[in-house]
Amino acid sequence: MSTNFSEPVAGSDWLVVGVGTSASSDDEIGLALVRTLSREKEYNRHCRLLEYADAATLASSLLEWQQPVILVDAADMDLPPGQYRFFSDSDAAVTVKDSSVSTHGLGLAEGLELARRLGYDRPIRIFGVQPFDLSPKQGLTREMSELFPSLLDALKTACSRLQA
Amino acid sequence: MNLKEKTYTIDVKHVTRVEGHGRIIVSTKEGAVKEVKLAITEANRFFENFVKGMHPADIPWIVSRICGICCVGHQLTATKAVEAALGIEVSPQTLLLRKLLTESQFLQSHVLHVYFLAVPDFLGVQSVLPLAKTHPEVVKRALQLKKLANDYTAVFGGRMLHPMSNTLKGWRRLPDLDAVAGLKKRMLEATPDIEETVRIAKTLKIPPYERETEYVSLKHPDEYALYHGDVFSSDTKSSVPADRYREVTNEFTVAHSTSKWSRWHRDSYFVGALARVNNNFNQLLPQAKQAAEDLGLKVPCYNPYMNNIAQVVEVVHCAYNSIRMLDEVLNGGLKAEDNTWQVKAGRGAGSCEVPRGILFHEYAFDENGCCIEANAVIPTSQNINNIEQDLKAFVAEMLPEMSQDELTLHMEMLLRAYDPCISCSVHMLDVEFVD
Repeated sequence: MSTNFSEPVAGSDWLVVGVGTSASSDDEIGLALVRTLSREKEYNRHCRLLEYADAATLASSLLEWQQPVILVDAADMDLPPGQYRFFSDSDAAVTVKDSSVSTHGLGLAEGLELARRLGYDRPIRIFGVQPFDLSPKQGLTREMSELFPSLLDALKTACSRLQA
Repeated sequence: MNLKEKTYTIDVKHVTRVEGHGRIIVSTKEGAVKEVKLAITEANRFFENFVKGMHPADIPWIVSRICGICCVGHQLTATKAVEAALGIEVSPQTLLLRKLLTESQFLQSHVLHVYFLAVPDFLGVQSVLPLAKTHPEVVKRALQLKKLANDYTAVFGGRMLHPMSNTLKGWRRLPDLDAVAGLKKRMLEATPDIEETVRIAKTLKIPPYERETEYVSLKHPDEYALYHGDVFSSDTKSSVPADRYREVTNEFTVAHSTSKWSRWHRDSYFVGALARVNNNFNQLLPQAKQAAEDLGLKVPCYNPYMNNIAQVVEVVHCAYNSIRMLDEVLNGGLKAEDNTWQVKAGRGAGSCEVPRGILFHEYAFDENGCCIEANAVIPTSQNINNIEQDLKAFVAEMLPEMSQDELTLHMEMLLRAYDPCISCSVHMLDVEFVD
């Protein structure tokens, strides 16, 4: 949820949205990065958190915000663990489960697709981080924690490129 | 095709749009049904073992993780069970807040199931994604209602999933009254969307299939039972207290399912929206009764596909009942209460209705307050036996009329009508080795 942050920014500004859960180890990386970023005054009003968000929540949030977004999340990109990639949703083949979805099984890709099909036409960038471990436990892995400062710097660089 | 020529082998290896792995196996030979099985192949979850050794206050928050859809129900049912074990009584204020949290979850789950799973089935598309192209206004309404329900849970629970505000004996942080007032305003503004949901449900063509079974739900003398009540059977027209739930569930195992099965007064029983509406119709609010009439739901209803329609009726009930309860909070205000309690040895059980049916939890603690035993019986594990009985009767009845493809589609729809949560249904099997 985004309740701890300032009022929405102007329509042309980017929002930085942390996505994930805090119960599956490195799946928290998106939330942790954006939560840390939000403590800096210049970024606070741009930051939102979508913790445990299902596809419906993601899609309805995008449709409500109607602003360009940077989604920060753990992503399986066939990269070595700890590496990140910054890309557009149109650059990547994000697998959408068109038929085999359940109320429990609609994920990020289906949420983006749903928003797109309902008319959300603002740019979407994804800051994806390859996780080390997604097993059910609290806290980032030690390896991810060690990389955290450099990932935060990379995210800030990505944000400044877009805001410029 | 001549019935004698109907030799089918249907094997739906992964039924879609249900949570977890369920497999339907059907074999017919020359028009006769040889075998119908609903196979459950999910692995055990071990939650009942996770909580052993845990402090009583931690248990409700841990077990809420059993399910991302019914997290509120697992948390509240565990809270009630732990409170029963420790002899903790709750105030009228806490009771009201828990009922609000409960109804927020019903709205979240039913809206999601009806719009995202049932409507695509009845409109002949594979999922909600193609529906977004053909019926964007329907999907946008679903998203708005889902978001409203999410925010409703967040106002009372602190966040939309796995709430943290509820605790033993009371509330850790009381809801903000301005947020409650804002929520009530949004709920009132959403009533046209609720009415439109009924109108959409009215357009769905429900397969005309009936099989009478035992309907089991909570029942309470003063209200449509969702948060509390005794366990009522439509067969005996009588109830047993929730702490005697083992007399109800009578869990047993079958070779083709990793989930336990249940039965009470006959081979199987039905829990969920249809059971609740059948057993407690008179306690629905007038708006919900009107919706049931508009949708052709007359009790007792023996058509399992009508479970989707019963969910819509409960959406109407919960929406209007929530507005009434929100008023109660706003008129009475909220005050900080004493939440202290003492650990002691004890055992307690609790039950709540959750969207898919009755949920039971039971915990035992030693004198230091460490959990020494836990048990959870979820609605889907109670329903699976009944679903298989439905499938068997359905195949036998419809085989003369339907092609193999039609039969397959309708069996999947029948399974989905229950909105089963198969992963959640698989829990620890107790094994005792005899020397």
